[in-house]
Amino acid sequence: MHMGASDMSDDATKTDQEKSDPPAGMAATIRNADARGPFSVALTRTDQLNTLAPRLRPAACWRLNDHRFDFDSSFVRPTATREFGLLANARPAETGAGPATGLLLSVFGHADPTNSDEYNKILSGRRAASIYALLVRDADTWEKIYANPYRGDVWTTKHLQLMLRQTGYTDATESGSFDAGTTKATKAFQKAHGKTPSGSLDQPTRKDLYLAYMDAICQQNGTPFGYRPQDFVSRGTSADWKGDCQGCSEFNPVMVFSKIEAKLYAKSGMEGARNSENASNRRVVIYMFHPEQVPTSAFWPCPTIKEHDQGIPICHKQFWPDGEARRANQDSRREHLNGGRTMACSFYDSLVRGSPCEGVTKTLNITLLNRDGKWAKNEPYRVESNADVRTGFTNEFGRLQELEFNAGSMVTIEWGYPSDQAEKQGQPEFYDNFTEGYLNTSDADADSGRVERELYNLGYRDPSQSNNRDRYRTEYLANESTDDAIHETHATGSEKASRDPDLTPIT
Amino acid sequence: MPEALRRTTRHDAKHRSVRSRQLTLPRDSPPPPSSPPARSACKPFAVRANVPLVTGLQARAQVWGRPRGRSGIDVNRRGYHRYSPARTRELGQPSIGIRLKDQNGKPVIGSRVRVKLPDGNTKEGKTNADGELLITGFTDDGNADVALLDHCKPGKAEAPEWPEEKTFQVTVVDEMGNPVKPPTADQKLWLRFRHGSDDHLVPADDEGVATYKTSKADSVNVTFESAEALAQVMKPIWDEAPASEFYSWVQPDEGTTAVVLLKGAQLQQLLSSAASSAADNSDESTDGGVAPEQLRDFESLSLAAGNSLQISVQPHTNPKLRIRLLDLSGTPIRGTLCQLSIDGTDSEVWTDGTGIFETEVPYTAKSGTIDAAGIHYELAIGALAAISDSSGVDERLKNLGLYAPGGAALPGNGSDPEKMLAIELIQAQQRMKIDGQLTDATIQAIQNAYGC
Repeated sequence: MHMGASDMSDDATKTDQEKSDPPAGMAATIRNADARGPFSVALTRTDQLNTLAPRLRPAACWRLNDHRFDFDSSFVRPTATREFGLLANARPAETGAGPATGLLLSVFGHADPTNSDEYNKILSGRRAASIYALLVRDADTWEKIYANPYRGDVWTTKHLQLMLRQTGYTDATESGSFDAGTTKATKAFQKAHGKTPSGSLDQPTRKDLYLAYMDAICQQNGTPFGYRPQDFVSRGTSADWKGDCQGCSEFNPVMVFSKIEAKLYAKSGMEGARNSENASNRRVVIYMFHPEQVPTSAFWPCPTIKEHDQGIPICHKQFWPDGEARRANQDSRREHLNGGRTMACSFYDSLVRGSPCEGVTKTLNITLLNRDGKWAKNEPYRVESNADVRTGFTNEFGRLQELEFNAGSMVTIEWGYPSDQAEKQGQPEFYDNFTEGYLNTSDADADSGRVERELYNLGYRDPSQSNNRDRYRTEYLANESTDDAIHETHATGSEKASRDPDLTPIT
Repeated sequence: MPEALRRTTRHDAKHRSVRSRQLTLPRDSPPPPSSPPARSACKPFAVRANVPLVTGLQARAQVWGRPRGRSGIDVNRRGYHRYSPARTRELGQPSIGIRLKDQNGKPVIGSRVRVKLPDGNTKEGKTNADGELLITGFTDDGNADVALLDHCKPGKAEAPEWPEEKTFQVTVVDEMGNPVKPPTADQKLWLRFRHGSDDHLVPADDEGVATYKTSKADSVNVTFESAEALAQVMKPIWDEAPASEFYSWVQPDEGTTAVVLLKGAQLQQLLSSAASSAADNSDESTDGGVAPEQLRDFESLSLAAGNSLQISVQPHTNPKLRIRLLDLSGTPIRGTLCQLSIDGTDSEVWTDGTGIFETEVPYTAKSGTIDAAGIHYELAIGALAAISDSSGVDERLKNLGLYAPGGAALPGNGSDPEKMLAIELIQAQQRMKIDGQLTDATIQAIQNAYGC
């Protein structure tokens, strides 16, 4: 069982819908084994002290990627339904007026390093507020966002038209202008909600529309769900949502460009590429905590979103001493989950340590080779890395492609099963083949193990690298097992040559 | 000197620095022997050695500080035998110990022994009631000559099997769980090990550990040398504890742990004025302690061979649970109501302007809870290890909210990424160089941040 990775282009076996709407978020549990253990304290007769501080460790996380928002906007797109379903699975909704019995939630908005700290503080806060309001069905907050545009974050008629379409009152594509079709749909919506069908999307109608849209996209298995204010960190006691949601500006990137990349992307015409590469940094993450670990919101260190950019000095107090250097461009590109130390805020950095929701999303292109070295064509697969699990089928070239994949440094892949058990796709124990491999082998140069990692991915896993190279040379009929040849094979996902492996290697 | 013995002597000299046997002798003079043998008697007897003797010798001798299986005393003739003094750990000075027993295993009492010391001086003494003689008071290392002056006749060789020694270990800690260390290097905290008529004093080492070995008992009774001596040692540890205070009973607690209570000043006054009066007894009993006469009669604990015992020495007054609460920013939580439950007893306290509250709790308190500022703390009272232990460092980092072993880890942060990050966080809080290394300075910073 081998695998090769390539920069495959557009020949994956994804449907158009899948290509346009790949998963854009995830939910995962987080190991925090000892966080709830007892505090060992000493008795004294002097001035000696025991000092206790909250052991705040999230038990679970949820992440909504940038692709679920309009660019530079806090508007949540309807395709986020999948991710909201994951959230409901991780933290079931509760009913009634009592205190939360499940995990307490806190929403963190993050921006990429483009623009100023102040601008990003506000934008990240608006995104966090948008998600919080959606989860608690707070139409007033959405109306405030609508009525108070901020730079590029402008909710327009187009967004209202999208809501009307998503809630089933029109099939028309959003035109952006308040046309006859919009009026008709608005009247239908108003009538259905017990209002006079004026056809005008006035404030009361907008609020009803927001709530309908929220129900339409925030669902679990087709059923709307939401949370109560007491399900969040402030337990419903903070009018400013302190602890419930906050914007982290650009203080906690999961990936920081190298100096060279930053210089390249600063050039005119490179904005698109820069924004694409920076997409992982633009995210909204929800962390979930056991209630007994969560202090009352007065003791939460983050400023509220209502403090806007005035909250930045409060954030700075939580910075690592070298926080500015951590989020600055350095000699090489750094990723948080690969130990890159990219986050400036020590509170957030320690809070989310090792959280799979702080990964860098990438497009995953992998060629699968069966035991005979031939492509695993049209085979079902299950690929997992950093708590992101995807299933699908390889194409005729044995290739799998996953967009917006929350990739870590390693990946595990299972594929192939008897055709009469097709219904068991996604269940790991039913796949025939299993392998693991390195991602981002190209990040390591030849001197730091790139070739070894590529050989490993190709199935050459002998402790002796010379043996691996000999076997590679034999099985691929290569005259020389040069680094370039191995890299080429790994990058293209070539099949092995049809040759008896027992023959003497070509020298 | 026989060739075999010369070889042995050289070997001993070579290995003296790495070999030391434990020697425990009463500090006080032993009672005089009831019937010392006649000095002129030169009768057959057995001198026990820790090795089989060569053929033709009748007796065996034990000489402490010599490797087992290497030497013996030729007691068949009057004369000198060469020995290497041992620098025993307990006494901290060179010594030569000799134990003489007859064929029946009975101690030979009052037998004269002469030792020519490495410095050239000669010392002579008699074996005590246990047939033992300890020669000390010299400083030079080297070979010593030992002569058994009262015994000269050869007899039948006998090499009885040396009985197996059994180990008894006691650790003395203070209420914080730290080893009790005497205030000065030449001062010792002595533990008394009793079995039968034997009464041995063993000093605790720097780790608060006293180890006694004997082949003569399967269990011993352990207590302190005296209340006064213990008070002298503990006084610098408890400034508020006058050295003249007394101790109450050693109270067994959970099998292998005992608690010694130091009495308060009021009781001392009571004892000074009328130690045995009934009125004082009455007052004492209202003080929550024990009867005055019991205070001087220090009880002891039974300790079986191979087992260890920890004795926690605590002042008689109840200790305090003193806690500072911090929020997620590391800022003290001031003026906050705390709901306490200590071993099932509920109470309320408020943190002061520095985020601290303290409350008196029974010294026997084991568990509790604090509910404050929305957080529920489960407490394991008295379970905090000393900062000198790695577990003590870990527990402090955990209590400070910085460390959660077993949690999610990030690569690139060493073999224990969680702990390294915790160390980095404390270094950042203390404005130290951030390197994630647990240096002495970092440990000190952790101790300072924690409060003990």
